[in-house]
Amino acid sequence: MKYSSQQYAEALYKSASSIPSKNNDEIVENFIEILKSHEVLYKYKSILKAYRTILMKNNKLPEVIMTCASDISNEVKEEVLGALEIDKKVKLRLRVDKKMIGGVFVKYNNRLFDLSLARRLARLNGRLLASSTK
Amino acid sequence: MAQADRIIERLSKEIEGFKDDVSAENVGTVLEVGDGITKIAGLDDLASSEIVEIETKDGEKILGLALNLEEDEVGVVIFGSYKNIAEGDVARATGRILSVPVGDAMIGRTVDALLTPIDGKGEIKTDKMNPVEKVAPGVMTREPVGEPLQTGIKAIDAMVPVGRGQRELIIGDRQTGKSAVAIDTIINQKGQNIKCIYVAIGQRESKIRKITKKLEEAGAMEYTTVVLAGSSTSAAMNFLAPYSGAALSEYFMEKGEDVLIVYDDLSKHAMSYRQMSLLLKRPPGREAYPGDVFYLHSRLLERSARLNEANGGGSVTALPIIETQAGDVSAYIPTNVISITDGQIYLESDLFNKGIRPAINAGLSVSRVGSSAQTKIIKKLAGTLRLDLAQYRELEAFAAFGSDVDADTKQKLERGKRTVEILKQGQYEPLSVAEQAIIIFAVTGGFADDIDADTIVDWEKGLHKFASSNHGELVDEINREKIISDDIKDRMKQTIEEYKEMV
Repeated sequence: MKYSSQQYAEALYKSASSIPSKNNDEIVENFIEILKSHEVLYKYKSILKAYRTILMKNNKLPEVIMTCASDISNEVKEEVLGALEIDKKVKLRLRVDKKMIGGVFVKYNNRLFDLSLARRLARLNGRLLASSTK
Repeated sequence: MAQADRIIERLSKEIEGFKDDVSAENVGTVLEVGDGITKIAGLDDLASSEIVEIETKDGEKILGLALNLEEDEVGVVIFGSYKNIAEGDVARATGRILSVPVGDAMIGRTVDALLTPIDGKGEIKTDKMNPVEKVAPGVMTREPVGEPLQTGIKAIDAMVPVGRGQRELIIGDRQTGKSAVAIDTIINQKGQNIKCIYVAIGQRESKIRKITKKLEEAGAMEYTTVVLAGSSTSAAMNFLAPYSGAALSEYFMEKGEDVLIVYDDLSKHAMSYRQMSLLLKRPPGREAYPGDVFYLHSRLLERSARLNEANGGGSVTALPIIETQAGDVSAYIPTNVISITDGQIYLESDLFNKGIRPAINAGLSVSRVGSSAQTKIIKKLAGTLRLDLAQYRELEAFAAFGSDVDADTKQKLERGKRTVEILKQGQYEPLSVAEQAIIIFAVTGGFADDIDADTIVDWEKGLHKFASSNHGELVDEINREKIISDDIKDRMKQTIEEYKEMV
């Protein structure tokens, strides 16, 4: 019987969710063996893509996207993750956007932390305008 | 200087005391995008019909409407181009249910389905917003339809009258003059203090340009707004356009004004909604339309109403247009809209090809409001017109066999021929109440029996010119009072006889 990449990905996700994480290597090995036996190893890229989508839908993608105005050191990265109580073992993708002026955006699954200088200046501007009209 | 020092001191205190917390918001991530639909993961607290903002990697912000709220993803239809959206882009809920700018500044402008200007005449300055989706006025806030809305088209005003607050469907095959009837009605609202909105859904942009040009020439753009979602715009914009037009009409209605809104046409609206629903994987029903296609039109058309005095006394009259295929009025969408509206004007291809234009089939056309929506003078003069025409059609078929007919039947045949001829009318030539009253009186009273049926159309044009130049006070009185009396009848008779002596 033929299974789609989506079905393989869902099966893998269910298996990985139901057992402790220290057995993940065993799960992956078993999974690859099954793909070999079904002669669908060529589908691994689409299965990975579908698996990533499932993780994203369930807020379990172990990935953080950090956007800064310039490159930052590893210490600063770890400090930001620590302050936001995000596991430091997640995969970190850094993007540089010079238009930001300063500060950092951190996106972790479906939460966006706005620590940018632009937002703070906008808030301060609002406060100053509000107090000037009193 | 002292004041400057005080300002600086105050600012310094504000800055020193400023505390900023980390802002955390729920966002979504684009999973897939295609055919104007994006699937987004996250956005747990999103409301239905909430506007979603998607930020692309280039910083461009694209808006969409959340239509499908599923367990683990949200289906969002994109307004405009989706080509720059990529997987992984961040989506934010704006907290706003879809609303459009409304105001008097919209008059005279051509706008898109979100009521932003596309006519190159600059920004529309208004601070009022109305929701695109709104519950229709309740039963107790309404008033029965009793005031006429003159279309300026003899066949309609005489036999299928339309009232303010009514929904009268214009239905027919392609190229039968449906849009022409609607445009003539808009042109005839000049000087009537009625705002007009023409919503073009899935129409050719060249056709709309022709229409706006004609409206400008007739001076109708002084009180008209054109809402355009052309055939090259997305299905989402085509879906939204009538609701945006309805939101604008409600703004005027709630101010106590009368509005005429034309939806041209709802067949294309239903097709756009079908396209969107299929792409959102909603289950298809009959003819692949989604199960709520009736509700799509009923909730739109129910927003056209006449409000009672306590609620301002305003009204919205709707002229929805439906295109049939091969004259089939029993198809799915036509029957849906016929059952929603307060009557229909049925245009036939056969009549159009025979030269009877407007090609109104009086037998199949009906106005459920009836003579309550008619001026007293037209009601009196055209009371038996529909019946006379029906009898003429029966006799015409009988006489086609070539048998000899008695004098009475022959007279009815001749009268019927002339009635059919005078009900013909040129495009962009709406007539006033007085002009309609005079010609109907002339034909039904037998004053045109000695005029050749082939030349009666020209005879009629001359009569109108003669009446306005030589009996202007009669014309003004009829247009002003709109009632019939023996005196008015005598004066009309005198006008016709003078004209006949002259020609």
